Amino acid sequence: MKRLWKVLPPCLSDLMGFEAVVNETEGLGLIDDSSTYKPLMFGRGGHGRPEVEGRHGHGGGRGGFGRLMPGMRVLNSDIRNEDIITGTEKKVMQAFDKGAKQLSPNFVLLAYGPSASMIGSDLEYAAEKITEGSAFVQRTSMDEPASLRTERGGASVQSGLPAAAVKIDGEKDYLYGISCTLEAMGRLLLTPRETIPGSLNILGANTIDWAKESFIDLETLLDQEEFQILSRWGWKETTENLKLASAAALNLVVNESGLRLARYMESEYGIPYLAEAPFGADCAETLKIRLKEAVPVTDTEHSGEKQRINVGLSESAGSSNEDQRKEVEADTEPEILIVGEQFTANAIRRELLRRGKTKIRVLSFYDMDRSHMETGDQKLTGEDDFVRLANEASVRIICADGDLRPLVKKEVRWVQLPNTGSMFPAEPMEAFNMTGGALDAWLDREGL
Amino acid sequence: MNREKNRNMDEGPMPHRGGKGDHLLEELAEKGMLLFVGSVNCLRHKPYRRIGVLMREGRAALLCPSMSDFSSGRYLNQIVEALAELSREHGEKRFVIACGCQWVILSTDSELLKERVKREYDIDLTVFEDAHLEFGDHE
Repeated sequence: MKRLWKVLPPCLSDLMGFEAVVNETEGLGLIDDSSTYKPLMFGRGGHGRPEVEGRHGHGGGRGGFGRLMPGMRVLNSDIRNEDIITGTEKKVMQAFDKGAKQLSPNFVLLAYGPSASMIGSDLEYAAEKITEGSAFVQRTSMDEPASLRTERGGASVQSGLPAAAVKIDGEKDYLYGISCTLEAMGRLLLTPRETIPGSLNILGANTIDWAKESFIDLETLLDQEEFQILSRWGWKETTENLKLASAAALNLVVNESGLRLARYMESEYGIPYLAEAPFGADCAETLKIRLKEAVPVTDTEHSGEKQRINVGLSESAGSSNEDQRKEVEADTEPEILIVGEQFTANAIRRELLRRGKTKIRVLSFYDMDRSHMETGDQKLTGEDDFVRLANEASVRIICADGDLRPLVKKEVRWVQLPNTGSMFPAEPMEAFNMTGGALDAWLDREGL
Repeated sequence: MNREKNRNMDEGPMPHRGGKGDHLLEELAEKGMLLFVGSVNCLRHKPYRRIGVLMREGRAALLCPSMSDFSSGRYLNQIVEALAELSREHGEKRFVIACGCQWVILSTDSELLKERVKREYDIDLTVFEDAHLEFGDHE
């Protein structure tokens, strides 16, 4: 049945996506929730799941409220039973006060824990109060030790910081959380700016899905073509650079989670976007050409105005792709299933099509964008969807998280994909470099 | 919500080092097949870190109703439906429900639910009525 998971371990939640984004910024994240959010292990080259093993543990939880763990810029409000009745506002403001003192953030994002969402906490109002600078919280002897009060003189942080509530509550997947958080950051930080010719932003490269090497190679590729990267949304970035983003001539969206922000920036600031992961040597070459067409590096004629271009997926994968699309559409019986983050899966499909494979479908348990789906592609709403599709007689090869394997009751060739979006995978696999020729090399090694 | 209810969980040998949260899940699973009911976000807590292994062994499953499922009360029928499906597939008649905070906030009537699944499917249900707001796994 829908919403019942019997085999596949849980994925990272939208709030963990929120955490993954905020931790890479100079902002502060507040989640209106009862318990501490721990660092995600991928930040240390480990796996993308909450850090709960003693080997890496930092303690945390109730005893740790107000003390941020290394690398963390997200605090919880530490709500308790009584707050369900009286409201969580005071706790949210206390958390802000403590977080602001420790981190001196440039902006604040608030998100709902499941319990706060259930009782209808008003975080938009809390965000307004923070922005207005009225976030002073009168301390009591219960709030913090006397020594700390003395040291700080009981004074609260002056605010006036830009703040916004992100409408996520732990119910959906991490990609959705990243997507909503990036959009909220864009709405909060961006203002109209003069266009800088030859400049672009990278949207959606996030620390859960993307290996560090992949990102470095992407930056190298763009540097070699003399594009000026103004900002990186989802990766480590300063607030100053994020604010510059509205001056870009183009947005390069490399992960499904960047689309929401790209569409906002297109509608609000007229910045067009090119959406595809630069995975595969052919794709990277095509991408360079497309970028040069869209972002003339030395075009002074168009300086100061955005160039409206249409660079949807249907045009972005090269001229030969149209024929390949028709081939895919003609096949009703898939031979190859690719299950994973949509842009990565699309890139793998593109390369397999180039290698002469056909009858390929992309499936995902995570957020999928309809405009980047081919005929037969499907957002999986539960294990039953996958069981039905994976056990079709025509399927011979499945590229997916190894934890899905028990759901397939027939002989297939299994090609394991990274499962960094899984919270507690039985068969963990880290993200690896796929940028440019790295994808081709991996496919060669897999004999595909 | 009430720590007294969980006192029995502290009894017996500790199969793993660490606090209560380290071994709670497997203790629960010994009482029957485990069904977690709540948001996916609630599974980040320490007791659930081995949930993937238990799921692979067929000893645990997750039911993640949406917020509208909770607020409309649909989750109660979903739970019954899930228990019936799992019971049919695993031949299991003993189940333990571990829940997220929604269960408690909505004042779910566990006794009524137990009676219903017993009457309709002959399932013996234990409900671990401890939400994250009071749970000791947050140390």
